[in-house]
Amino acid sequence: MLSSASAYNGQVRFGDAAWYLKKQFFAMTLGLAAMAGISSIDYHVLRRFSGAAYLLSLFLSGAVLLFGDAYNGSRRWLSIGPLSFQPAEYAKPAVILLLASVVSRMMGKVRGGAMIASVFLMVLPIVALVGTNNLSTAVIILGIAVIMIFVSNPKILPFLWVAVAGIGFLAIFLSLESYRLERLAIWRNPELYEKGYQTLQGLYAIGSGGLFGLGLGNSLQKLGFVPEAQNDMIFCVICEELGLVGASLLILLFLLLLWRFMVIATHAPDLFGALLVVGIMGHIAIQVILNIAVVTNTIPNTGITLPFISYGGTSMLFLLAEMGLALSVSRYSAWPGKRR
Amino acid sequence: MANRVKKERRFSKRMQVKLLALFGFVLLGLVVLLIQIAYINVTKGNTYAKQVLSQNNYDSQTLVARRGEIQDTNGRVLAYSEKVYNLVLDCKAINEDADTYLEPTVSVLSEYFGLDELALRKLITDESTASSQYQVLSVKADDEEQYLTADEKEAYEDYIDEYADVSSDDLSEAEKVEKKNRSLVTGVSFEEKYVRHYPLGSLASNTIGFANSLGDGIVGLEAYYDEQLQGTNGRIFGYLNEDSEYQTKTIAPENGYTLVTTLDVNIQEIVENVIAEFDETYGDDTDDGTSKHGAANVGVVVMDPDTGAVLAMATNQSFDLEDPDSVIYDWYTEEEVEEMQDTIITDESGNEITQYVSTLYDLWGNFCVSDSFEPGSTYKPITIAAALEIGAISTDDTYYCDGGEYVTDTEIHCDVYPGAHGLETLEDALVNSCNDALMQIAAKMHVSNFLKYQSLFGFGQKTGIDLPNESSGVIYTQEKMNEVELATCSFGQGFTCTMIQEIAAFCAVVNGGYYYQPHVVDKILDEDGAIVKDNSSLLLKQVISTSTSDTLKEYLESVVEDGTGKTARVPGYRVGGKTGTAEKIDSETGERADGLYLVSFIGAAPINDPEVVIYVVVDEPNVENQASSSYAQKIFQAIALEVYPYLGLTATEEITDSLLAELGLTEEDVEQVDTSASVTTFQAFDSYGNLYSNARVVDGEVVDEYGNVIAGAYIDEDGTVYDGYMNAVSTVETDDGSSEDDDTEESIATNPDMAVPLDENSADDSDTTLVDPTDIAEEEE
Repeated sequence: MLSSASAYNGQVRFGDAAWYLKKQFFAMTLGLAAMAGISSIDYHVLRRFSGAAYLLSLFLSGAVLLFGDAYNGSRRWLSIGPLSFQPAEYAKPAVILLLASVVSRMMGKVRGGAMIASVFLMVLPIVALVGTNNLSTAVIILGIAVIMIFVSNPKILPFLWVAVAGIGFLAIFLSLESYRLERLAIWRNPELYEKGYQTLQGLYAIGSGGLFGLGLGNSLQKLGFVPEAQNDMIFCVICEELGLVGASLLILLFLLLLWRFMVIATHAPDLFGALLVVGIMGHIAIQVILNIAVVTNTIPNTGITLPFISYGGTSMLFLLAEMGLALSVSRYSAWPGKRR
Repeated sequence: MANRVKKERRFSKRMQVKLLALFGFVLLGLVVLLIQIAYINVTKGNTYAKQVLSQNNYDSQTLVARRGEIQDTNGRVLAYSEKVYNLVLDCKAINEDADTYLEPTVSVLSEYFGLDELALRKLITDESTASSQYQVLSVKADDEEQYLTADEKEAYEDYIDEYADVSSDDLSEAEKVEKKNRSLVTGVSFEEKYVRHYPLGSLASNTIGFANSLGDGIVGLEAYYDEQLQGTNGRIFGYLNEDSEYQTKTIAPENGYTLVTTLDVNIQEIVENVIAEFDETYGDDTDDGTSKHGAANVGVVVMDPDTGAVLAMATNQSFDLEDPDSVIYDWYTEEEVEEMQDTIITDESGNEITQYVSTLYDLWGNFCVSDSFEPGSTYKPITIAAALEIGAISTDDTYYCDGGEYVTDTEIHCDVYPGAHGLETLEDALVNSCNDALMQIAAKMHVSNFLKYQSLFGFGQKTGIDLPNESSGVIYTQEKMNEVELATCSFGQGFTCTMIQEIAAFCAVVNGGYYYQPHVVDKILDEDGAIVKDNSSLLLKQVISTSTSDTLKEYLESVVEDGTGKTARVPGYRVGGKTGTAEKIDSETGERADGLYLVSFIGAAPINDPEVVIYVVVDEPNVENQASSSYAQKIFQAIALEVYPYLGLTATEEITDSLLAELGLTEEDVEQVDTSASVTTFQAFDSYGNLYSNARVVDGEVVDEYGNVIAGAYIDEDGTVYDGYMNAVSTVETDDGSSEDDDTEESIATNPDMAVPLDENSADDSDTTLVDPTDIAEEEE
């Protein structure tokens, strides 16, 4: 179990200036404490709070719209005393907990399409609330929901419909607001648009890294060229500094982590635990894939962070808490050869 | 049964398969992305890498930090950086609509800057440069300086905007065309940079050193303190905010630190003038363009014995810091220089360089810290001090000099051989500079004590002075030193040292026994004038006791009063010192070279409580008989005659005519030249509005109390002094000769960029002439 823990601990080193590092370190310490705490309690206890946790996330997401602090022009932060955090980050584990609890209970009682529909109805409020000012996170929450139902549901066909519906929804959504279409155009030809700057600079960074990179700390692009170098675009700095080899190793680490999740899920003592882990796995997988896809300009630009690596205190805290949850499930698992 | 129920509630096989499929999907996705990364690297890697390196030019702009100043101890500026501008042309911008922009741009630029129209047109339209966004224009074709000063840049901008706000109705036809042309000038921008200036030219050049056009220190303080002087460049860059809006951010540059040195420009000037006079007197006349040199090397160091501060440091290899390469023609003919440029040699670190470059570095070097030599008899006070300190000898001892000494099987002569000094006291031994006695003293000390004190006095190791390329000299080790070596080392032959080692050790002998860290930089200040580092006085150790030091001071005074140092006497002052005449070793044969000598004199005054130590070395004086320390003594004396009064040392001794006659000096020579007592000071504003309360006129220029020119202030033909706000603040005498007039005109002529006064009324109160003759030294006898 330690292997998965140390895997991300090693990755966390990629900080930027000491200011970020310090704040990130604080969040990490808090997160590690939460992880240790959660991993030592029985995850079944959490089942009872799943509804309350979800309601709390709805409340917080609503509150942030009214009382949130605006950083960089977006109201995404809630201040509690000296601390501030992003309710959207909290919404992710809350949704995972809720769905794991609900789906595992419905299993065998409610069938097929009805279940899918009821689950979507359930997550719709939070997706709508979060989506009003943070679309990317809303998409991730939706994605987590889809993955959890997909895994739990024996059928495949309904999901094809879901996929078709999703694409249709996306098309309508894009055409509704012109600036989103503009993003598409930028995606096609980033060099032609001033707003393609971020994407282009990211590509420059990736391209100039070569096989082994410029060496740790030697990135030229992070010196002001790549915006959000410590944040969304951190992966291209990694590419620049550590090269193709470093990037491959990092992706390999993520794959190992996801593999462990899968193993934990299959050995989970009950469906609730398994679905919890599946949700966490879905969460991390979606963010990793989307982040790297954005950075490499494989898909249009949206602001999604790279789990454990990007700067962001709330994100780090809840990701580590999710790790704790997975560890807790793993503690109660029926491992082959393990004494009961 | 229970087992079965449980199983159903657990993860079904089908779910596992779907999970595996999900994982497979993720794996596939990540692999695709990895391939995408590799694809970007392979297809566009080189282009993007180049893009990254080149975007300094536009997407992000470096804001160059200003290199720090170097000042003398009084705040007089020795080196500073001026902000200037490159004129940069963006050909691509012009070519985006060449029909509209090309002609106006070419005509305005060529007219205003006098550029060659054809060349400019070719630059913009030629295939190789047409899409370039960065072409630096040489705006002063015949001049080496390709940049514009801040004033020239402003003048150009005013020129462009001249008609911008004027309605076309008020303009003539020709002016309308001008207005249109000037408004269509495109692709012209200014790139900020700094150029280094050394306002005092060659003064203290070997110590200050210089920085190249890239702002890297090459030699001297500029090289040693390069990091502190450089500062950190800032940057302007663009980025996208959360709403995908392009914004620019500025990281301001951190300008370099200012070095406040211990050098005193006035003392340095005195020293360099005396060296120049020596070169003039003893140098051979040349007709091949090289300069006259009175010796292979002349080095002078002036030090404050109570802090280790270097007040002046000069050699006869000074060079113009504004044009350092030209020094080579002082020493070599044009043919020789050409030959050197064609000769490739390998330097110490294995790089191939031309002989020319290697020679230049040699000439830029600082003899006072980088060259080691056998010091000769100036080392004797150190031997005696050490012997007294350990009790190997006492002040009551007597020695018998028979003209030489047999050490094992080697006969070593005293200077007076075949004569002899006969019976001597310890004091006589130093006064006569008797080698025989010194050999006997060293023998009593034994090798181990001799070497211990040699090291304690800092020989054989770098002093750590803050100048580059310091040499440590070579001394004997315990194993290598036998009786013969001990004997010769006792009187300063057989080992080598640098001037800075010798003077630092001598300072410890005469200041009560304290060894201070020799240094050139007193303080390092940041941009706001706050002290970053204080070097002012670092006491490293006490080498000998104060009583030993007192004894030596007595002896050293006798050396100058009655002994070998009589030529160096400075009428009016109590000087203690020691001569040195070292036979040189032929570098080719390794044998003692007949007739080649390094002569020296080191002296402190007032010897009862020394405030200044002057050390003079003349290496191979250009004379028939080199073996006379009088050359060094005369240089010492000439320097001391001016420096002592300048430093405010009080003349305590009677000056008799017979003494002057004996020394070949006139009353004028010893008259205390007081350059500052009658200076008229007044208040003056510079053109930026700074008020200087002790402004004065020196050499036809209006300067502040430290000698820095006050910007915008000038003197008109009538001798009226105007400050930077054009207030008449003083007058200078013009009826005592034409020289002042000449200077005055020159000072106007050299100030064409004089800033326009900002507000004439704001300086009313400075109209009064303030004369304050008391605030400067009053050394009148």
